[in-house]
Amino acid sequence: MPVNDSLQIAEAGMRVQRERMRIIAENIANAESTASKPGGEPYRRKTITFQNVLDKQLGIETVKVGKIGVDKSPFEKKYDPSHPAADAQGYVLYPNVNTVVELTDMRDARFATEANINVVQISKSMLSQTLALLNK
Amino acid sequence: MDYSSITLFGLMKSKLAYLSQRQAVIAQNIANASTPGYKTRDTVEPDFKKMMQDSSKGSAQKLQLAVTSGNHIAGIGSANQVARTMQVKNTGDTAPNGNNVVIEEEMAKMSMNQADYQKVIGMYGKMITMFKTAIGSASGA
Repeated sequence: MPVNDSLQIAEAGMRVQRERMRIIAENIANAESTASKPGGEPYRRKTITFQNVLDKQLGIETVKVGKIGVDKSPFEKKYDPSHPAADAQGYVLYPNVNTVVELTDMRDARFATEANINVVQISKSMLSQTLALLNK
Repeated sequence: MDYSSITLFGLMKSKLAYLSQRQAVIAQNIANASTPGYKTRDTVEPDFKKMMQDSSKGSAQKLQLAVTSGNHIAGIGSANQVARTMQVKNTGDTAPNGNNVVIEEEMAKMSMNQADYQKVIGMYGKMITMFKTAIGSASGA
């Protein structure tokens, strides 16, 4: 029944947004994770994409996490000779994580999750209205 | 007794099937609000007005599966697919990744859809009550 499908789809939607939140949290937590010795690479920002896929078991199209990749943009270089990971010139590589970008992404993920919760609530009320006909 | 053999019940059943299918399509749009390249979808509403007119002429017509090719066989109508789903090409708000879902619009569509659903369910309930009155057990029990 399509109303049940709506619930399944919204659930899939919330699941991918939660995964996105996890990646964002990982990025923010590691925003300052440099290498521990000279020449090493700091933490590289992770990215996530979604895919619209056909769920063969349910026969409906839902959404799934497509690929978790890495951001290939250059690292930030800061001058700090006392740092254990500083190179011969005294520069340290910092992760390519921009906290502002992550926070904006997080807001977006939250908004999308709320939208999915709305779908669940409305679908649920449609179902209960239908079931209430039994009492007529 | 099959309720849908009574014209109005049949029509309401079709409308409810259409509305719940639309709800699933809207849910899909919202779930895919951040999927790259995903295009908003919507359902093509069956011509309920024509069905109503046909039924008042006495030739009650059931909601049929959409036939898009001459080779297709018109089904007897399944509850899952009453209306055709199509992609909405231009919502005027396409993200750089090719996604054109506008969540606000989907929310509005969903509220309208729910209101319509509620309306038809209410009518369905009223019809049942009327039948009960006719039979003579109107107290609802």
